Amino acid sequence: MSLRHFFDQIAPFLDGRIDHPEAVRALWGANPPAPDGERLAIYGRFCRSHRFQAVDFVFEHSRAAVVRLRGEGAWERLVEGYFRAHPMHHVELNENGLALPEYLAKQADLPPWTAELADLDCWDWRTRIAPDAAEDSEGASGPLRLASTVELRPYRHDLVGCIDGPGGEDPRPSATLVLFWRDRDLAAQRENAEPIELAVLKMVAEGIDPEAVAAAVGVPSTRLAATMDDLHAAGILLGARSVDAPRPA
Amino acid sequence: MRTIEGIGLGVRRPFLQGLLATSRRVDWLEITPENWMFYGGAARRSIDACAERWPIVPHSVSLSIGGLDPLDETFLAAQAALVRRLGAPFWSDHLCYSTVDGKPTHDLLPLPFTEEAAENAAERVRACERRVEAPLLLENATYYAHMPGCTMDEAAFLRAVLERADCGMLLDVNNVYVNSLNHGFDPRAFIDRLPIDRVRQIHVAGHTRVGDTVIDTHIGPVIDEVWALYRHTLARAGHLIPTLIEWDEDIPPLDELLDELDRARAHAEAALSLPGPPHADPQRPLGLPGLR
Repeated sequence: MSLRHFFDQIAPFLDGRIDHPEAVRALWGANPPAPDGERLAIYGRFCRSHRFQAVDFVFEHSRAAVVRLRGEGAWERLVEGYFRAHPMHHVELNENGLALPEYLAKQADLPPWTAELADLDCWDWRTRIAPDAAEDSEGASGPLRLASTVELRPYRHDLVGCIDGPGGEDPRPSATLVLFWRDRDLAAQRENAEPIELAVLKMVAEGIDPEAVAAAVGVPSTRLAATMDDLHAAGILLGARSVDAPRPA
Repeated sequence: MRTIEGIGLGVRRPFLQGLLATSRRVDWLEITPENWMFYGGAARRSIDACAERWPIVPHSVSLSIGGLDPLDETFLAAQAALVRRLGAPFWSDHLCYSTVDGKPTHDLLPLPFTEEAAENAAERVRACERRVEAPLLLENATYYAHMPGCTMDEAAFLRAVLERADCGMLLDVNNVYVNSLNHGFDPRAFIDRLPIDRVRQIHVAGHTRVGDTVIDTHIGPVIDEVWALYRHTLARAGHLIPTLIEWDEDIPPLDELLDELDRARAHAEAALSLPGPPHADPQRPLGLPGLR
């Protein structure tokens, strides 16, 4: 058997398209040698387990939600279906699961918030492993700026409130913007962004006059400065603390 | 370039912070580059801190040296950059395939032991070494089943690939032991058939019996039979080959892991204090720091 023929015969088994008996027939015919034919099943199990490892770690909350709503079997069918639609492509295992949110969004038998939850899980991961940006390395110097890891994601449900709550419930419908970032210890963080925090982020990103922002948001400029301090301490803002915004007394 | 010698530890995330804090002896480290090479953040910072303290070698799992898919140029470029950054004297992967139809399986899968497979793997070793510009060591992998069409046994296949590629070997002593149980051969005779001069690194680890098959799980302490095989290997080599403890799941507290490193040192000392076997070169200096 040529190497090409061998790979052609075994490939469908390894990615779950044919079962073990069919693979044994394809490789050895009707009389497989013992115990080789039987033990081939080990490799089918190993490859299948890697498909689950590729999503179970990153999509911890999504998995828990699907299992709670539809049972363990539904999650297993979902993962197998996902990898038929999105075959493994990357040498880093977790990278292979990152299209799961879009796949979940197409599943009519699951509530739409499960796809949002998968997006949140995905951004938790992306934030954690984001490449180190040179402009972040001197966090206390340079102009006031957003950390390179800052990301805002819009959701139609309060996912953070649901995850951080007692558990076992669906998320409450509520338009939210979730702020993702890596703190000064490089740990991934997320929280529902408050309007005043969004205003400060916009002010810093676009260089808007603090007094104008305070007036537009309808808060005292000292509150704006205090929020800026909080965001700076959290590592969302980097660089020299702005001297333009009035500081709280 | 940094020197790899003595007894090392395979880095795993659960004990990374503890490792950085320990004052116990660890001579060198091995990392799985796929887990670190593309990313930043806290884990990357910890690996950088490790690199300041210990020599590190990358031990990859996705090269698919025995496959037919084109080599992953993105991965090889990242591996080359990592080897340069670490000052690693070599890097390693497994004599197996791990991709089919261009898709990674994330497993180390056995090749048919054939002339065609040996020639294919050897050619790809040479190509990888050109890309990364550092020696590649090939590790003997476990196999639970012979693939169809084998025309030679594993020892002959290993020798054929190593000699045609003119590359070094990472000898996983536990894999030899596991394969010997699963396929009924004498593990010492197997090691005696290997080109020991090409072995530049050794792995030892635990394993798990599942029914009538022994699985290379890297769980648990190294058992006495594997230590005995390790001593046999070193005695045949006549010098300490840099040795690494692997423990991948059900990982104990770090101190228990480091006890395994101490045990490896003791076994190495015992092996190299014995009268040399026929193949040993008595003039060759022993490489165990602090031993001689």
